[in-house]
Amino acid sequence: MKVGVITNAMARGARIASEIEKNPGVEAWVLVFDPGGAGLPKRMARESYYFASRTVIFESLSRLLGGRILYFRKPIGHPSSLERIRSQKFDIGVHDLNIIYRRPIIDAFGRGILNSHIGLLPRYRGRCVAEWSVLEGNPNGVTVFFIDEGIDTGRQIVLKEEVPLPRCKSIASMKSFLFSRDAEMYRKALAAILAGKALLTNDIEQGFRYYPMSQLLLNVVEQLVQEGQLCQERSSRNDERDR
Amino acid sequence: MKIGVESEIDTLPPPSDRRAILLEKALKARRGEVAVQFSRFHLYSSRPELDEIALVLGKPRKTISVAPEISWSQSTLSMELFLLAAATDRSLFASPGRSSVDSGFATIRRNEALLAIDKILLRYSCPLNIVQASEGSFFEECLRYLMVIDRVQPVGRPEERLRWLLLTLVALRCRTIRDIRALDVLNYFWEQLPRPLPDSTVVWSFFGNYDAALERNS
Repeated sequence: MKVGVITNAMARGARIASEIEKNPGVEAWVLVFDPGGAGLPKRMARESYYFASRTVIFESLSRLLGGRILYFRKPIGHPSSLERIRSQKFDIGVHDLNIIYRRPIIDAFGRGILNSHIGLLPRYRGRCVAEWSVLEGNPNGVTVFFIDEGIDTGRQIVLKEEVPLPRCKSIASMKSFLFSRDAEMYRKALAAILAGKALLTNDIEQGFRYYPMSQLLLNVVEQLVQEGQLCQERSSRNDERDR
Repeated sequence: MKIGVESEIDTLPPPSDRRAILLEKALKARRGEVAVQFSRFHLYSSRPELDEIALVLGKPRKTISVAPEISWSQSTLSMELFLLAAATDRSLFASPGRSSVDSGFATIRRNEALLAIDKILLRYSCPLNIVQASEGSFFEECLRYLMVIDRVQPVGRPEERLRWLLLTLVALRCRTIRDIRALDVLNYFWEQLPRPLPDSTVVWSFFGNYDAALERNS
């Protein structure tokens, strides 16, 4: 299975690519775009930021030398970019780029593009879903699904997992923890696809679209996160399950 | 690692109660802020008057009554007074049986804001049908319009009145139905308002409903 990791930084893409290649039969490529048209200096700065460990540097360089990193000068929706993607005949795309995908982009990948969403679908669509989960007293988690042109409305869910939160200092660190699960979740999702497991349906009638949270409620969530009561609640629930 | 004083953590109530306590405290604090601002507008109307108007408008109607000579987008009336006038005046009648999110709202574009106001008023001149379950899709579209399209628009533009109309509809619903997700749209826009707050009949109308919505959801 040939997978293209769609990203805006080589180091980020290499991290995901190396993780998903732990699945036998997966060949990962990194497709690097520059959505903001930032130019080379900003690109280099962005890359440096993500070169946090030697492992990532090594992964990036080996991929670069192996020709499995593709740089695109034009945006992903540009005809020349799409043509180049199509010519590579990717089976699946993996989302790591902060854009909304149009249909021609999605169709450029054989089965579509996977997205790792830090909320449990179908209930939590849209923005600030981790915060809303905390506020509403529901478990946090990650869902991997095939995207469509809407906001978290793709009908096919590949993987959905509750994620017990560790003790977090802030909303930012909580979200950072959830986002950091993306590579692992993509690996598991691709394993499920390779194993031919049945997909779940994202029935959007069963959920809501959420929007940016007001500062008023963010303060409430921040306090709940800092007090860690929710984390303990989930931990104990998982302890029971483990037993 | 525990954050805060040990004894405080040990005496915290269970998570669900703690959530409710913090939420109630936050909403009450916000109510206090809104009440202070709302009191500046006592010349126009008062909270009991608004409640009375809402009571009249709150009864779902089987017919839509729109006074064709009145258009809120051109009037200087407050939202409530206009809606009240539209709902009680004898005038044009139309069937309210249209399905949710029909072309009336779906065709709204930024440059058609004034037209959109009239379209919405045509549909919602019996405005509190907005609280009916059958209008859920329309309501979701209101939220989407506010938080996706309108949120990024600057203040002081001609389409501003559409924003206040939609916010008022959201507030009218939130004062009837507990819905923290929708209420937070009102919270969000309150926080975005320029300070000092604008002194206009359109805005005070929103304050009154926002205050009632906070009370309902506290």
